Amino acid sequence: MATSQDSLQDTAGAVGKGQSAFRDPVLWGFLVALVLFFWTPELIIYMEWADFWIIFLTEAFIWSLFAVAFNLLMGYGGLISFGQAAYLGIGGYTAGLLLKYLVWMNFYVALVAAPIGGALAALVIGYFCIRRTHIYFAILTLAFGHIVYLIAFKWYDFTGGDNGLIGIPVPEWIKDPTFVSYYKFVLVICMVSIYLLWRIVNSPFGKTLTAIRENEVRADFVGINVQRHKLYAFMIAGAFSALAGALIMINERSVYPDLAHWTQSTQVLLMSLLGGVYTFFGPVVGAFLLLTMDADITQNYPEIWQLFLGGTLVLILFALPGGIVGFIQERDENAADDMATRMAKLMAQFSRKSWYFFGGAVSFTVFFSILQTPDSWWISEDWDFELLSLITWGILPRTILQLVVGAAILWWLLRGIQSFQAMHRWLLLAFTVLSLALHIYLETPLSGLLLVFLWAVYSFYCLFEPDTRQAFSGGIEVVKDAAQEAAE
Amino acid sequence: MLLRVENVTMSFGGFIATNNVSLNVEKGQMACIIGPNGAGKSTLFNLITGHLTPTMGKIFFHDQDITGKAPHTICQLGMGRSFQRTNIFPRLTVFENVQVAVLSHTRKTLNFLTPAKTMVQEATFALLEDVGLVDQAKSTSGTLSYGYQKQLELGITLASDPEILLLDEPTAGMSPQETTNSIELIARISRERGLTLLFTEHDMDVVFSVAEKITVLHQGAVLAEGAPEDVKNDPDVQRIYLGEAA
Repeated sequence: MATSQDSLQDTAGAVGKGQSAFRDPVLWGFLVALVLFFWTPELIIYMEWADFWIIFLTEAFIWSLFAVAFNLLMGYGGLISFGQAAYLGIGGYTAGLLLKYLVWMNFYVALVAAPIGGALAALVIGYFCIRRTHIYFAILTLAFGHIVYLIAFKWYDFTGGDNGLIGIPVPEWIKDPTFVSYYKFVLVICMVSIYLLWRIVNSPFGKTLTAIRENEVRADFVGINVQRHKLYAFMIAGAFSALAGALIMINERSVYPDLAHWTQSTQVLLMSLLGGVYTFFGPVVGAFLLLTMDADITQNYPEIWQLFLGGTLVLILFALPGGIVGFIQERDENAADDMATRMAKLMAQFSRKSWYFFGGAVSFTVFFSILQTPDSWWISEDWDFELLSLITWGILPRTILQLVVGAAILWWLLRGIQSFQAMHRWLLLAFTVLSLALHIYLETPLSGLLLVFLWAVYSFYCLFEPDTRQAFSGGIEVVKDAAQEAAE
Repeated sequence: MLLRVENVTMSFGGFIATNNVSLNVEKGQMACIIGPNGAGKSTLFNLITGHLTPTMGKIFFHDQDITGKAPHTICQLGMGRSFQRTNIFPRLTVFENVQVAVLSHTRKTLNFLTPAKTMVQEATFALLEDVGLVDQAKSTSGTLSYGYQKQLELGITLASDPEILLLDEPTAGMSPQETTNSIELIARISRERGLTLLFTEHDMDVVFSVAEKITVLHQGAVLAEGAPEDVKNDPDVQRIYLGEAA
C-alpha cells in the first residue's frame, strides 16, 4: 500500500503540502508560453509578416479564454450551454455602457465590472437553468441567451439597439496602430484567467464537478449539493465569458448585439468539440484551429465558410468524438502517463506508415502551395501559375527538381497509404489528392490539411477496426499491440 | 431507535408502491428487507434516502424528522447508500471515485484553487485498503469488473462515514464466489465499524446467514417481520415465495 501511495505522490508531482507552488510544472508551462507569446509581435514585426497576425493572435487568445470557460460547463460539468454568448454580450455591454455613459468611469474598473456583471447574470439565469438537466437545460440556456440578445437588439435608448454602442472611450495606449500593446494586455489577462481556470478544474471543486457530470444521483448521495455546485460552475463560466466579451468590446471599441447572438454560442461549442471536451487545453487548440480556418477561408470565400464549418463538425463527430487533444489522451487512458508518454504511445499505435501518409499530405500541400504562389522563388516572378504551361515550369533543371520532389511526395503518400485497408486506400488517396488540390487552388491549404487529417484518422481507426471503433463509442480503452501493428 | 419509518405510503399517480409501511432499525442491527419483484423494496429505499418524498407518513433518523429532506442532507446526517445498479463515477479513476466522496464528507468541495490531487490521500487509501482496491487505485473505474465496481461503490459509501448502510441488492448479478466474497467484506466492515445495516437481497442463503431481523414486503405492504426463523416458518411468507398453491 505504501508503494502505491508513494508512486501516486510522485506522479502527482504537483503542489503538495509544504511544496512551493513553483514546483507545479503546469505553472512553468504557462510562464514559458507567456514569455514566448509576449514577444511574438516583435518577431512578427521583425520578420515583416502582416500585422493581421497580431490581431489574429489577440482574437485567438480571447476566444481561447471564452472556450475554456465554456468548457468548464460542457466538459467538466456535463452542462451543455447553448447560450454562452449571452455572457460574452453581457460582459461587452457592461464594460461598454459603463465607459460610454459614465464619463468618470475608470477603464480598469469597467473591465473588472464585466466579469462581476457576468457572474451576477449567470447567478440569476443559472438559478432557473440548473433546475433542469440535459436537453431541457440546453434549451433553457438558449432561451435566456436569446432574451439577452433581444434586449441588446431592441432597447435603443439604452443599448443602442442594432446600431450597437460605438465610439467607446478607451485609453490612448490601446489605440496603438500596430496593435502590439493591446495584444500584450489581452495575452496577460487571458493567460492568468486560463491558469485560474486550470486551478479551478483541478481543485476539489473541479473534481466534484466532474463527479456530478459522471453520475448526478451518486454525487448527491455522497453528500454533494449538486445544484449549488452546478450554479457556482455556471457563475464561474459566466464571469470568464463576460471578461472575454469585454476584451472583444475593447478590441473593437464598439459592441453590437451580434456579440450575444446564438451563433457565437455554437462557434464556441464547435471549438470545444474540435479540440476535445474532456480535456482542459482542447478548447484552446480548437479556438486556434477554428480561427485559423476562419481566417483562411473567410478571407477568400466568406460565402462557403458556414458550409465548411458544418462539414468539419460532421467529420469531427464521427472521426474524433473526443476532439484532437482528447484523441491523444484517449489512446492511452493510463492516468499515470504524462503527456510525452502518451504522445509516444499514440505514435507507436498509429503506425509508421500512417505518419508517412500525413508527412506526404503536408508536403503535398506545401509543395503545390509554393508552386501556386506567384512570387515564389520556385518560379519566375512575373509568371502566373499554369499547371500545363511550359513557362510556368521554367527552365529544365528546375522542372526536373520539381518533378523529382513531386514524385517523392507521391511515393511517400503511396507508401503511407499502405497502412490503410486495401479497399479503402485508393479512395482515401483520391480523396486526399482531390481535396488538397481543391483547397490549394482555393488558397485554403490549412483547411484542406485538417480535412485530410480528420478523414484519415477516421478511416484508420473507426471504419475498419471494430475494437477501436467500440473503444471510441464506448469510451473504453483497447490497447493495440504496437509490435503487431509494426509487423503489418 | 436509529431509523424509524412510520406508516409511509407512496403512490405514483394511482399506483400505490408502498402502502402504510412501518419499519424500525435499531443501532447495530443487521436488518434485511425481502420480497418478490415489485414489492416496493427499492421505493422504500428511495423514500428513506430522500430520492422520493412519501405521499403520507414520516421517516425519522436519530429521532430527527428527515421526511422530504434532500438526499445530500440525509447523507451528511450519517446515512450511506449503495444502489441496485452499480453507481460509480465511471470515467474517474478508482482513487478519484473515493476521493470525491471523502472531499464531500470533509466539506472541502468548495475549495476552488488548491490542487486536489494530493488532498485527503491518507483517508482515501485507508478506504481503498478496507475494500481491497489499493492495487486498482489508478485504473479507470468504468473498466473494472462488476465485482470490483461493487466493492468500489461500498468504498464510496463508506467515505461519508455513515452510521447506517442501506444496501440495495448488494450481490445482484454476482457469481456465487463474488457473492460470498462481497458478503464477507460487508459483514467484516460493518463489524469493524459498528455499522447498522439495512439491505435488500434476493439470495436467501445470504439473507439467512447475515440478517438478524427480516421484514417481508409484499405488494407494497409489510407481510411479516421478525427473526429469521419466525419469518421462515410464517405460512404467508411461504405462500408468496413458493407460489399460491403451497
